[in-house]
Amino acid sequence: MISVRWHPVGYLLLAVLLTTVLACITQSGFNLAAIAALTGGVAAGDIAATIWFDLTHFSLTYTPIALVNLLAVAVLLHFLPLLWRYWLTAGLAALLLFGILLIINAVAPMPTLIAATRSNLGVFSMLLCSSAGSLCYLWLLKRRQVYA
Amino acid sequence: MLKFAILLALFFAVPVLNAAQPYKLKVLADNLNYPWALVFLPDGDMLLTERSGTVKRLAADGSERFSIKPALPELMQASQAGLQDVILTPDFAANNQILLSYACGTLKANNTCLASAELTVSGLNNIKRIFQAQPLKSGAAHFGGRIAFLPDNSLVLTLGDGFDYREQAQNPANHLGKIVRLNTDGSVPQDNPFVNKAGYAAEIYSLGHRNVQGIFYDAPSQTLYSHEHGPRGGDELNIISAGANYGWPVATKGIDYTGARVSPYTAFSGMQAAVWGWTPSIAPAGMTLYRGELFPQWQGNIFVAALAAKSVHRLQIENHKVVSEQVLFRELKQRIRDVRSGPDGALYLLTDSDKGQLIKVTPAN
Repeated sequence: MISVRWHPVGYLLLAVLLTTVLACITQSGFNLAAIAALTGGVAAGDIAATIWFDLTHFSLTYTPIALVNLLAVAVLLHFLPLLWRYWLTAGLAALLLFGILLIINAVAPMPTLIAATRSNLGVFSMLLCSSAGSLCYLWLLKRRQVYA
Repeated sequence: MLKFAILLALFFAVPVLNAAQPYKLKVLADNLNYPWALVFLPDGDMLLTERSGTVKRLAADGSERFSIKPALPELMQASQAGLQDVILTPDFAANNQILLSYACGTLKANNTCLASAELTVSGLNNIKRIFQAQPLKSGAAHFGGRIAFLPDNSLVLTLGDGFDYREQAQNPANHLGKIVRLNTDGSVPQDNPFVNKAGYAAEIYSLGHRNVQGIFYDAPSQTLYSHEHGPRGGDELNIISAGANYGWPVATKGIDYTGARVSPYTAFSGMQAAVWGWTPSIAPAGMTLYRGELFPQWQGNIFVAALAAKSVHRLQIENHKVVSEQVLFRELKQRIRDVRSGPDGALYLLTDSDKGQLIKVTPAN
């Protein structure tokens, strides 16, 4: 009888959720900052409404990206225990996302699909979101090992 | 097989019964490589541009008189970039001068250019670049590229925001996301709205645009109309006033292709609201005002070519307001790049594909 361990899948989904939420907030932040620079400011209510809008709309675009990104991280962690270091995992997730963004922009008809990644700072912020998700995943895995 | 049947039907000019106005469609030319614009010559011929850089002269029946690739300085071809609009200058009868808009530069450093040329029996002579939008930017998207003449014989040229540079549409110091007004030699008319104003590009006529690909001046109502692509939703029909700000990206009814909000505002103080809009997007790509005689019911209506909607939208205007909209030519099931009102009263359509067609629309009877 084959035994399947489901907890890594649950941890992965949690990490994807965290990454997506962080990425949505980041996306909102960059767009709002750009508009605020043109208008002299954005009201708190408009900021909250925009973040909520992006959490419910932009997330549909970003969740598959985060899933592919962190799934690749999870697979590599599974086969290469050497990577079970926080800084390595964070760097690996960021590197993979960077590659994914390059591929998306090469394939998509527009120059840059995700508006926040039009600037280097925006790309870096999105990479940090990915790193945060991967760290969450690794932390959950390690925590399970300790308490197993 | 289905495509062949449709083509055959079009060749035999099948009358289509429309709710108000029966018409028939006839393919005048096919196998066009992404045709972009059409203009009518005084002798009944037509000039047609293809995005690939080709200029064709066609007889009224669609037969080809010449097909050339003019040596446009630094013509750039990639994605949306290429040869765009063509227009006759007001004194064409005296000097055979035409203007061509096109994307110029390299993938890393490009923008929209305007060139003048002399039309001859076999092609174009004396091709000169007379304007290049600044600054140069990277990417091959959002070039605008439509041209219209105003009653004082100056011209307006539409320019896109370059997609990645949308905030620059609000920067009055450059040409991204602007409509510029020029003389036919590329010089700046001295009565432009921002001439001699510090921090403003003198060529700017209006600002806050995303990607304007339809513009015409209606002499009887003394109105300059334009339409522009919104992002996901938020396509707009605007009445252009000198010096006005049309809002992009601060005020828009569209959202990013990713679903993210571009801006929290759909309207903003000091920015002009659209007179009509389309959400979801139809991708308006060309526009004409019908002043012909073959379709009396269409007199004074605006026709908007739509890429995504694969149709032409007929707008009835009263007192500068759209009072009704009718969707036409859906049966073609093709992206429509441009629509023009011919001197013979017929409507002419350009379909957008590597096997594009020039289609003439006339009354069914």
